[in-house]
Amino acid sequence: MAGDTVPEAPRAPTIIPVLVILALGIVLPFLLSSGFHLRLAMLVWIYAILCMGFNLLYGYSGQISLGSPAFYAIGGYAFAMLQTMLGMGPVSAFVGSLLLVAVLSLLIGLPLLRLRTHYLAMATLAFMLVQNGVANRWINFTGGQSGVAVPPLEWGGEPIGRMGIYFVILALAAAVFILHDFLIRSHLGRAMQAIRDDETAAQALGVKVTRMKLAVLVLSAVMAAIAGVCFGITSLRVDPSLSEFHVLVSLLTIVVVGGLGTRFGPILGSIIVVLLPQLLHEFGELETVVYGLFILLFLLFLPHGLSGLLERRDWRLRRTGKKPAPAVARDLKEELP
Amino acid sequence: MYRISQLLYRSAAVAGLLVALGAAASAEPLKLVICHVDDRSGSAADTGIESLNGLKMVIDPLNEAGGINGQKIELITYDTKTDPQLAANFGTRCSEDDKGLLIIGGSPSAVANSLVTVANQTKTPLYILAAAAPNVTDNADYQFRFGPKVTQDSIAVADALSKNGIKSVAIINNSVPFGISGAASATEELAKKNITVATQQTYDVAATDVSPQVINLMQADAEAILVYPYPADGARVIRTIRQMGIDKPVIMPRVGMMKAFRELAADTGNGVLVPSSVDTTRPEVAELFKKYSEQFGPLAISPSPAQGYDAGTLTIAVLKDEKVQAAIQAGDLQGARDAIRDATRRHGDFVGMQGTANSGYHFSKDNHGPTDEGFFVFVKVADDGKSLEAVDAAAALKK
Repeated sequence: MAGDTVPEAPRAPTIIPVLVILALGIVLPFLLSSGFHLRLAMLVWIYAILCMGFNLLYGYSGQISLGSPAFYAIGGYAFAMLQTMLGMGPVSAFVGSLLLVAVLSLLIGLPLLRLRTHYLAMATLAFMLVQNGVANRWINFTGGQSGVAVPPLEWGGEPIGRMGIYFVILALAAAVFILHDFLIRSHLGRAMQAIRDDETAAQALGVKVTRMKLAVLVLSAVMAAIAGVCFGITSLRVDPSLSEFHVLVSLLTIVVVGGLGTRFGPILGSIIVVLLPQLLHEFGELETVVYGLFILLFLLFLPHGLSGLLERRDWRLRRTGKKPAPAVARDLKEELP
Repeated sequence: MYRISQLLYRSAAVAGLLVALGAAASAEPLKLVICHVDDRSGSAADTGIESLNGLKMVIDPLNEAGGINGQKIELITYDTKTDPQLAANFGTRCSEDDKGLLIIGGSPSAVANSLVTVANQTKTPLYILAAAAPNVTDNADYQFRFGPKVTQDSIAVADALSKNGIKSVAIINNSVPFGISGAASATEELAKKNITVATQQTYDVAATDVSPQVINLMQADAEAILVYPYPADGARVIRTIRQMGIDKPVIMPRVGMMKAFRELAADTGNGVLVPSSVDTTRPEVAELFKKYSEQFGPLAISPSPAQGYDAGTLTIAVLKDEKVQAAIQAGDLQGARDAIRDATRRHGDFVGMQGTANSGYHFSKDNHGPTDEGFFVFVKVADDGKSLEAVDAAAALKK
């Protein structure tokens, strides 16, 4: 295979790094000194969940969809409104919101996924703008710019504290992370990459391109909805800002900093994007300039992001012939259904 | 085994010492930390910068004079960049890391909404500045507003139109929340005064051509036009209105006062009426703006410095309050925050730099904002946008 000489997507063959990251996530709250730090940790996981869906869709499948913030917002809104308007419990509301987003993304995906490249990007961006417009303008239903309050999670009649909320979010993030990792390392991940690299060739190899693209879109939307629910239970409010441009910019920045189409890019990028504004606060009026320079440096010197840097170590070692790499991929034809 | 025992004893001793030190530290008086959490970059940067300057005009002289009981007020500033999620992070940081006694900020409504959630979660008092969204002070406990609700602008407009016998109005607004909620609240208040909305036109905030909507306004032939834009699109709307030869009175709440609008509209902006929460015919208000211009550079009438100044004035009154001081001296952070909330209600009935000489703030348990009636005067854009003049609304709207 050509991939034996220049592998496009280096992959570690083991799940151990994933488990290590999750173990660090479990220990983390006991090392933090304030509730504010815990809030930042929660936001890191929330953005990581959101970006893992985006990573599968864009990074691995090559579908330039900018609609993730819309599904993020719809998930949050549905979770809040199913509780406040229909009186559902949080678990049923959670399931309901994911089902709603899955059906919606399926309906949207059927016509939109016929489009490619920037046409798909524009169409999904339009969907985000429409969703944001509805959230802002349908004031009687969505609360307009004030949004909807999310009932606090309770256990035994008492609201769950911030530490408890953190572990709820961590559990959801762990599920998404393991699924993300499983997909990337399985034959499905290689089918996604085949679609990304050449749809016609992928089809010739037996990949059901349309079905696969639609499945990834739905999965990505559901992951975004999980992130939206997590944001709701953290901030106790969802509003139109969830699907505004700054969320999309954060998403794209995470991709740049963390690394598009990499295993750990969403998490590493989220850590940087959530923490950096807090660290740069000391720069005062120059904060935005420094932030911009930082992103520029990443683009220039780390085009594959932090995760790409780590994952490509193996690639570099193989190029210099220092260490034989483990088998990266089995034959695609053997793996595909 | 002996080593392990020694280690355990020493660890216990160190832990005991830390607990003792912690207890001793908690008896220390609290620092007078307040945070300004607002936009100082992005689309609403002017509001945040001006309100911060207004706040400093009160706090800096106090600190120079020795502070309150020898303690200086420590002002921490955060730039929220019109990002509600960033605002929530900074609000939480102020409350939990900085041990802030009070948060001041939230000029854009979306940012204010985020801060309200933080204020209620962390039980930290919040003084909201320019946010126009009506419901940021609904069922309010810890949050108080200094900027009037958009509903209050609409009440002032409907009142002025009604007093001048105007029966039909056309509304044009942009598609962002300010435009949408402004038009909705105006429609509601106009209906209470039996004034008909002849047409309501909405355009995209980025639209370069608004002539289709303005033609509809022209055909509706209303007696006055009410515009709810952002600065740049507001200038496009007023230029189109004037280019089409419509000479009806135009009222543009809030945005009509903004420098960006006046510069872009230039001569076509002349005569645009704006309900203003700042009455520069009051000598003390004129003096404030004179001092502001000397200290920070030229500035036309704007509510933001007045809001920052009023928030600072009340902050000092509240921090000097006996019960607040007792909690501060006892090192009781939550006690101090609760005392600040209660003291705001006690000291918050005052005439500040916003409002008219007869009508100001009226904070109480049930009211956490300015008074509905008599808070506004009217100003008009003049001198090709270079200045704003106080105007008698009755004369300006006379049929």
